[in-house]
Amino acid sequence: MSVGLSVDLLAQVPQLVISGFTRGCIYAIVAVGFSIIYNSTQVINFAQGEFVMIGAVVAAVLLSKTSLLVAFPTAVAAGCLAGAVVALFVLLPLKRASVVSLIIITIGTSIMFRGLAQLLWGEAAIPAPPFTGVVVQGYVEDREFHFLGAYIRAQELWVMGVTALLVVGMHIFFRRTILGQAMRACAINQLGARIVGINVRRMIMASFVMAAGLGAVAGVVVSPVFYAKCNMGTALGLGGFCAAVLGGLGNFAGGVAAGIILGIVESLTGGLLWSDYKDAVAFVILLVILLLRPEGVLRRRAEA
Amino acid sequence: MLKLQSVVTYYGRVLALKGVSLHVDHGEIVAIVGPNGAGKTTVLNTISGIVTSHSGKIVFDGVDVTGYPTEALVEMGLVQVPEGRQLFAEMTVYENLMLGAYRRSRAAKKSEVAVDLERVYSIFPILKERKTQLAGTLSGGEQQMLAIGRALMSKPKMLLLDEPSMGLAPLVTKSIFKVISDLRKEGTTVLLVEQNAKAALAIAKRAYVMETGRIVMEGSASELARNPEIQRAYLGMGYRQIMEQPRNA
Repeated sequence: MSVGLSVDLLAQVPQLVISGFTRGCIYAIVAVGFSIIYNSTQVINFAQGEFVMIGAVVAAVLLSKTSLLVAFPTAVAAGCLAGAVVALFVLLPLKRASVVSLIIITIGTSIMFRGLAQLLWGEAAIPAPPFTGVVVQGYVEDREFHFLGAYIRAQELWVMGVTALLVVGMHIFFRRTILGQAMRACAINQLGARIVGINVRRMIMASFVMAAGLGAVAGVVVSPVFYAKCNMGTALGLGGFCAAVLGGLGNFAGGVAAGIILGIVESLTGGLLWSDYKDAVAFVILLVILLLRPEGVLRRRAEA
Repeated sequence: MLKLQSVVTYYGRVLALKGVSLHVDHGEIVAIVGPNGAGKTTVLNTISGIVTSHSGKIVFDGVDVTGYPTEALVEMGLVQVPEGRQLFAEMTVYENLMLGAYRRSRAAKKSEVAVDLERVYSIFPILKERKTQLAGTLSGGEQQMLAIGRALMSKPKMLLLDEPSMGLAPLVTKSIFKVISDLRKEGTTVLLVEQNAKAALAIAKRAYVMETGRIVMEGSASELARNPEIQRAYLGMGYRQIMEQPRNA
């Protein structure tokens, strides 16, 4: 396999950056989901990628039958429900278990969701029509825009726009609303939170529903780009996890930046160097971080 | 206002309270004094629902609240200022105070909460100066003020104060205790747990002495302060000091 960079390859860079950016947006949303749950429970929820899968698959199945206005909320509700199930039947009853066993349980839960999806919808990829497009011979074709030497699909703009909205929305929620403040309070000092009258169990529940709902939204917007598949959650979950660690667990802005960077690096590695090793990028980065800076690269130092 | 009837509490397998009965009347400051590990904090944690009692009965404001969760008690106006303050260190002073009003944030009008915030700022002006500072960066005394301020934001009828003087300089302790007795004058009932028995007995009306999970003595605060046994055990006075103490204490 040749690794030489020809002019042809370099011309692909803008296109690779754009598709990497799109995938990175999904990592970013998954990373925020990891941080929300980590903040309220100290648990790393490895079922996070499956929430994206649930959103994507439910949306893809429904989009072939109904409109986006029905499919979108239904798919997000399905994701939220999955989050509530994890919190209610897995995490809260086992509150006494150690964090490590809880994390392993979330891995089991993730396998369970994947299996259920496979039973319900099969293993094949389910195509989904783009949100906006032109109908050509009864088939919705996505619009494309020319941008800095690359083509960008309207659906990719949807992914980026929705990601931006979610990230800004989360920031406002956690800084400006009393419910968001209460969730942060649980993370900072659980006893203190109980003493001011915050129902900590309810907040943990809320954090799971929110993280799952976010993941499902990401799944819905991305399903026309990647196709929805019952095993898509694993790779997205791992990428998101890598981004969350890279950005510093619990740090939203760091996770978002790291997610987008990771998406772009993966895409460039796959397109320019070795496409076979694309999926290894996240792991290599993760290993290097864990060896050199276990507290995360983008984590702010504690303010004095 | 508050009544405990033979309350028994376990911490894991350890029997921490061996049948505690006490009562606090409306508008009183009542102190619980005693050595480390006597179960003073457990009494407060049991009342506030942080730990659940094994048996016995707790009545607050005429309602049997045995086994109530903390958030229900906070809503009824029974609020704890816990040992070690338990502030939200990485949040600002202002955010900490607003979370104190969490149970009221939906029902109460914003203007009401704003009035209470001004009241807390007028009691502790330093908190207003530091409102944008992170709680974890405050001095010990300021943190204690914030812990009390946060509790006041929930409009309590009764405060459960756990070791408010812990780790504070004598002057700061004095000003905190001044605030506590002012709060009582405004109608807040207080149950105060203290290692600093001298300061506690000075502002309390009545007091209970606890040892190894039991109440071993009770009476008016001034009576207990004069009791030679208490003086030796908890007021840090040697024999000579007791003899030389002025009669009008």
